[in-house]
Amino acid sequence: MMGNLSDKEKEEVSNVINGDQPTINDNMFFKNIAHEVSGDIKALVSLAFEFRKDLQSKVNDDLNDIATEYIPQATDQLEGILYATENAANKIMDNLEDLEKNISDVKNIVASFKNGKIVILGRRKKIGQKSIEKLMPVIENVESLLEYNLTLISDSFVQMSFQDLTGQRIKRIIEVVIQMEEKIKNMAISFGIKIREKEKNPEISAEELERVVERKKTELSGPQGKGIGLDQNAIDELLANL
Amino acid sequence: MDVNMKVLIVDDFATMRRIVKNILRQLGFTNIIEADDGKAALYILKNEKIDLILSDWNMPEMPGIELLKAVRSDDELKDTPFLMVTAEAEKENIIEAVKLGVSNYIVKPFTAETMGEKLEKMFGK
Repeated sequence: MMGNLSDKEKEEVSNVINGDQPTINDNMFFKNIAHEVSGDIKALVSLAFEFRKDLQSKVNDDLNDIATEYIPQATDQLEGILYATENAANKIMDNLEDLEKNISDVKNIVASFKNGKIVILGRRKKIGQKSIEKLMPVIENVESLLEYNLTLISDSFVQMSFQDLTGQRIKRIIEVVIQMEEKIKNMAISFGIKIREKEKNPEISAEELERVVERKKTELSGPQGKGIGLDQNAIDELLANL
Repeated sequence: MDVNMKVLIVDDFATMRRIVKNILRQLGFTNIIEADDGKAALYILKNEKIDLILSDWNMPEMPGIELLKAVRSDDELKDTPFLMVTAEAEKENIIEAVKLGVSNYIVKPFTAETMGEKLEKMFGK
């Protein structure tokens, strides 16, 4: 990297290394480092946005509408997926419980039939023993199928655990993404503001620069999405400044 | 094993509580109540006689392991059978739970058969 520096820049770097020139105003060394680091930050911010866009393109239309209108954060979209899978799991379990009840009703009908009693259109009828004996193979087959269906329902309930297991993992990912997004956002904002303010006012002091950063950060976090995060324009502007 | 015993299911996921409840019903249990975290469970335990606790490990307010500690350190609750039902299958977690006095440990997902075996070990047939 030193090979790319002009004589003046080399002198400045040397001064900084020797502790002769610690001011921010004319310090090319810090500027070069800032450019290097800002490239990485830009890549990280882009990654975070690509992740959000990717999520939006992969979830269904309803979820996508909810996500783009109400929950622009990637973390909130993950929570939306959790919510959707929980609703779906509950609906499936409602159906399974209905099936269980239906099977139980059919089992009662079969048991009654075996005892020679059957209700047809609300009227009780008796069945002769010979008819029952003739139909016994069919009855046993029906009973066997009912038991098998109960086993399938029971297994389906167990499989519903996926919602809990994947949900726990998604929750952990959400925690990590929240932390990463917050850190990346803060870094991007600080660097973006610093570089822009330095360009506007090359003579600005380090202390004043910090004050501007704090003020602008407050301004940026205020107006978007009912106080939740930065909107796309603000981030695009920051990215353009990096 | 007395299927009339009162069972408390503790899990922050409503879906999982429902699954466990269904499995218990398949085993013949009908007296089942629920709590969505350790704190809510402790409140129930202080106010009702519970014969068996089935608790998840990972819960936001009060994790299952903290609930276990609280139960085992309470003179009135310390003998309540406590079955940890969790996705945490790490050896360290199991050892920690055993040291704290867990009655048994069951890893999700599990079948009614597995649950039945665990309960039989705890209560006998």
